[in-house]
Formats: sequence, C-alpha cells, structure tokens
Amino acid sequence: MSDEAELSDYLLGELAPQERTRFEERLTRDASLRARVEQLRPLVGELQELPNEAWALLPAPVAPVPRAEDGDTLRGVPAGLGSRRAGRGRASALALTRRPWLAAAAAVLLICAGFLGGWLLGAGHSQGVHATATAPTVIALDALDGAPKSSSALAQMTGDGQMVLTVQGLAPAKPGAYYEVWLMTDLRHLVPVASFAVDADGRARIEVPLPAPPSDYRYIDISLQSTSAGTAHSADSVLRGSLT
Amino acid sequence: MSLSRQPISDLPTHRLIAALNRRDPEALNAIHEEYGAVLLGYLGGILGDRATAEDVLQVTLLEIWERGAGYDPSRASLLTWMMMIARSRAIDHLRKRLPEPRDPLAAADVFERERNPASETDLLLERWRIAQLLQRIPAEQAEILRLRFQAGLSQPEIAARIGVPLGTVKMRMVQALERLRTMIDSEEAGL
Repeated sequence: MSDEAELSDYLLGELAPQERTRFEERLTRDASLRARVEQLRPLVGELQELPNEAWALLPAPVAPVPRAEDGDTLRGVPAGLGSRRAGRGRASALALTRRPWLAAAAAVLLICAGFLGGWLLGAGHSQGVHATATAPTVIALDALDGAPKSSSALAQMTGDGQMVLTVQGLAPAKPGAYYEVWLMTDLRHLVPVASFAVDADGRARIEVPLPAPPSDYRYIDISLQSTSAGTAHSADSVLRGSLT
Repeated sequence: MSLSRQPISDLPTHRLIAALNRRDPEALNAIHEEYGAVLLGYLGGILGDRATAEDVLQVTLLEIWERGAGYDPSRASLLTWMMMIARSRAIDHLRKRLPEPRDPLAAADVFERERNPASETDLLLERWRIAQLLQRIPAEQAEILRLRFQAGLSQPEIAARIGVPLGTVKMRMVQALERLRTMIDSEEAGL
C-alpha cells in the first residue's frame, strides 16, 4: 500500500487494527509522515462537524458554474440630480399620479410604526410583480451632501420582486416629515417605492414589493419628504445608490 | 469595470479588495455573490433561524460596505474580516434578544449562548470558514470530501459510487485534505 493510501486510511479510521498499530509505530520513526498526520487530523475532525448547509454550498459535481453575462459598467451621477439642497419648489411641478391622501395616510402610519417599533416594515408583504433579473442583487446607497456622513443603506433584490432595504445613520425625521424610497432615473422619471421612518438610532428595515423593474431606472434614491408638500419627490435626497 | 458580471470563480480576491477599498458599489454585489451564502449559514448557525440571519446579514453587509475603505488585508483575510463583522452583529442581536421572555425554552437557549457567545460563535466561524474554502478546491476533490464527510461513505464505497479505482480515491482524499489545509493556513496568515 502506498504512503498516500495508508495515510488516508489512517486519518479516516479505515485501517485494520494490526495495520493501524504498524502505522503508528512508523509514525514514531518518520517525522515527516508524523507532521502530515498532525496537520491533517484536526481538519478531518472539523470536516466531520460541518453542517449539512455548508456542504450544500458546493456546486453539483457535473453541473457547470453559471456565469453572468457581460453588461453595463458603472456610471456617474448626472449633474443636478436631486441634491439635498436643490430646493423644494422644483418638485411641486413634478406631481406624481399617486393619490395624495393614500400617501399621506401611509406615511403617518409608517412614521407611527417607526416610533413605536424601531425597525419598521414597509408597505406590505405581497409578492411583487416585477423580476429583478438584470439589476444588481445588492446595492449600496451612500450619503449625499447634507446627509449625515455615517448614513448609508443597503438594498437587496430578493429575486421575487421584493426589495429589502436596510438603513442606518439617518436622523429621525421631524414631525410632519418622512423618508421615501424611489426608483429613479431623474426627477421626471421615477416611481415611489415606500415611505418609512427610522428609529431613534437612525435605523430602518423595509421589505417591500417593487412597483417596477429596477433595471428600468438608474438609481435607488431616498428623499426626505414633507407631509404638507404633496407626494412628488422633494428634491431633498439623502441617500442614493446606482442600479446600473 | 463591472465586478459582478465576472464569474466569481475567476474574480481575484485582490481585485475585490481593491474595489471594496475604493467603495466601488459593485464590490458589494460581488461580495454578496461569493460570500453571502457562507455568511448567511454562519449567522443562521448562531442565531437559530433563517429570517433573523437574513436580517443580520443585511446589517453585516452594510457594515462591510461602510468599513470597506479602511479594510487592511495585511491584518486579516477578507473572509475572516467579514466573518468577524458578522460575528459581532450576531452577538449584538443575541444580546438584544435576551430581554424577550416569551418562550422560556428559547430564552434559556439564548441565555446559554449569551453565557459564552464568543466560544460558540468562534467554533461556528471556523467551520463556515472551511465551508467557504471548500468551494475553492477542485470539484472532484470537494466531491470526495462531501461523499466521505457528509454522506458518510467509506473510501471503497466512494470508489464504487464515482467509478474510479480505490487507490485514486485515497490519493484524491489526501490531496484534498492537504490542499484545504494549505488554504486554511494561507487564509489565517491573511494571504
């Protein structure tokens, strides 16, 4: 039997008792072989303790690894797009088609939920109708000018038309104000996703169905809105991440 | 550059680190693709349920993104660094969970974890680190290890299952173990 075969049998406990005794005697004389055993034996123990879920991560033995297609590269943020201090008057001419009373009611409801419960769930858990196949899976949203520098968010497209948004570091909105998430290309091409509030620590977690394919837009944008200023984008963006 | 459009198996870690350092948004996507399952599995092992693990994974990814510009590969490997962040956020979550006494059995379990969270999470961390590295060894070697350590087959049974000589199975077994050992040692050295 070769060294490799004997070593493998020994590590896996597949040597017969007599062979095992002989191999262990050899180990006392062969420092190199002993070193290999000492190096590999703990690993065998670790592998025996690996949970099934860990093994399930391995690709199927004969299945090819799926490869993503080449596509778009990163693009910069266009000049003049909704900076935090861009002014609210501009947004008034960009009224969206949503019903104002519904948006206001949802905002108030969500803000209350935020104060009461901290991390808040957004506008329901129904299945979204839009696939997210061509959009990135995870998008980081960074602070724009005027927002707290430590604020950020992460949006994850779950593949079933849902988006999970995790926000941290935003200042709790003052009474009469709330945060809104948008899919957006510019202030004329955008769709609201959900209203939300952050807890006292500046955090929120929202799980919402997407109202449109994210691949149709360039950004995920979070704006600070006023309940008294209508439902159009306020042009007061605080966080933004690229979808392209 | 578009990191996430490349096959993960071909994406060099140093490029991923460079992208993370300069806060390239696509680095986060690539990290989620390559390490998300391992981080989720690790967090699930600590936290006990998938939904909670997914929540904590989000916070973990966000922190990875936030701290990515300052990540120094000479201090810890990328995988270890990310798992340490996940570990911290999981322990935070366990500590927050303690005051909720709705289910006495669950509370006792959480309390047990809380008594010594570091040792338990460190053990899990080591196992899931191995799980991540397992994905990087050649498929035929990983399959031999899976058949042995997950399916519980003996080497003769593995030989019969995959249709190769017993000697080849034994040789591949040692090669796989030694390759994995080398990767673990390199990973620990932050290489």
